[in-house]
Amino acid sequence: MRVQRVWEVAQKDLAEISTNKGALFGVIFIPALLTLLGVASTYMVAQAVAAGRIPAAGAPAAIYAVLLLMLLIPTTTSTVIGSMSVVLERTGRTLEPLLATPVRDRELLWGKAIPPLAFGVGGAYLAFGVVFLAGDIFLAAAHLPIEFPGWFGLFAMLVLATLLGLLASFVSLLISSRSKELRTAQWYSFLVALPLFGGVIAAFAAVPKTWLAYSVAVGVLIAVTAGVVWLVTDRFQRATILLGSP
Amino acid sequence: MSDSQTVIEAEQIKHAYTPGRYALNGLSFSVQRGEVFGLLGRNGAGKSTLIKVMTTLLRPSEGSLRILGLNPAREGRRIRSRIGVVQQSESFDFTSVEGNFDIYGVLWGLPAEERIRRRNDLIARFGLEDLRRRRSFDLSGGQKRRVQVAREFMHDMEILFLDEPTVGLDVIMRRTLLDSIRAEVRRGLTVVFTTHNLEEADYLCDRIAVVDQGRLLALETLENLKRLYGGRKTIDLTVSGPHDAAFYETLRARLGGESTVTVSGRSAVIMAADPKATLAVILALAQERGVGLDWLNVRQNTLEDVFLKSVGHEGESIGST
Repeated sequence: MRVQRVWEVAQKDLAEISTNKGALFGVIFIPALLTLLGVASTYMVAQAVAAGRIPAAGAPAAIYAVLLLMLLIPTTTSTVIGSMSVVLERTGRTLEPLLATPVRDRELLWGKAIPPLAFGVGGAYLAFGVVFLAGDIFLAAAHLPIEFPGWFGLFAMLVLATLLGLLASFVSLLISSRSKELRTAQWYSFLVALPLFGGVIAAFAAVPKTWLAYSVAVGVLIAVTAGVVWLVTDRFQRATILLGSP
Repeated sequence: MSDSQTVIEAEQIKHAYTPGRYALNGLSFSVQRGEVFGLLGRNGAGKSTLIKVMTTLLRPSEGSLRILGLNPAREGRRIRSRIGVVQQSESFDFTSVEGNFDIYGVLWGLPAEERIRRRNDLIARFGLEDLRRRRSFDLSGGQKRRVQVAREFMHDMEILFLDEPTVGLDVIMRRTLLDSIRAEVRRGLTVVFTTHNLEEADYLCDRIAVVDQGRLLALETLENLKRLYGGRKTIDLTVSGPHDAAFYETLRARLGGESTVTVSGRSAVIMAADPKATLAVILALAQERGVGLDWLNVRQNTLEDVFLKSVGHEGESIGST
């Protein structure tokens, strides 16, 4: 696999995303909305603790729930962009010249996975940065003896965001490569990605908040993600991509 | 059995986008190394589908196909690394003209120095100097087409597939492009190209396949195609008067099966085995029916006549495959 070729494919997609209103919705609106929600939620938790409406001991769990919800950013953004990646190019007939080159299937797939991954995961990193900073400020301003989930929490969220972004990107790419139209691709992609998100969130909400328990859970998720990436790479069929059929 | 001189071998190729409706319906042909092979046909005849099948973009539903002795289903990448394809669709228009050449260089794995050398050479050869820093998206249709064709020469290839390469080009650029292709053919390149333009096919092709409704109606050298009509000449005729339709009906009956009469409104194209006798019949009939002769011209057959004759008789193959 040649990195330069992957990058050329990715550049082509990045350029097309920048001119597509639907893609911009996924790239800007969803992360912005969820960041706002995260900031507002941490503020409300801080205020609720300060006013005695919830006990201080319950604050970390409430904040953690907000952070987990923010993992919707890599899931939805990657799904929106990944699902339109192939199907839009097919309907616009811009994919054919690329398919006629010696680009390998893996190079094509990874090149197409970079934009949904970059926007989904990049957006999530940015959002978590903002919310962590806001959380620290709000809790300090309320003079509360609660630490916003520190480096461990941040690290856990970034790892989860990356893995969910990977999962959503590859699944939606596969669906996009086998769909005849954009609406179908997006519908089926969300149908797969959202339960996947729900499952991951439910599992991690139940995992004890220790390094060991997290490491094991993340290890399992890495294995699942690797399996899905392998499966998608294996099922990605160049010869049927122009037809958009299984 | 494939030999090194045969670069494309198609045997009963079929392709259906929807079950039962064949875009390609049992095409068999071969293309020899160094040949310019023209695919001629109306819109929707199956030319572009055939190009897609030959360039590994689509798999044939039935039949066997070998490109450069390789099986497209199993060795697609090896085929793609040895061919060039200029399609009707645009791509890579987000970047500059220069960027287009660079992308193709990268996709074909050219080292940086070689990439720059070839890029500069092609930009000069195709008269793109003034456009080199312009974004492809902002170019005119003809300019985009020039870039599309030129960038394909960034890499070495054995077969070049061109799907209507001259659409949108002005006369001078069209001739420049055709001459460039001819020059590459002299160096041993095999070219397969589709066109509506019969003059182009006449100018460039060694052999021509006439395709209609996914079937091969004719496949011959240009000379043979014209000769198929046994030294026939074409008579162009335009009549005036109230009974022109009846005139043509009677004319067709009197000329019999020896000549073909293709009528369009008040005009007709007649392919005549014996032009003198045909002219006599026309003049006598015109006098008899009181029909005026507005235009009467006798000329040698052109490729257009052959094409019209071919697609006018659906399913009836002419020539050999």
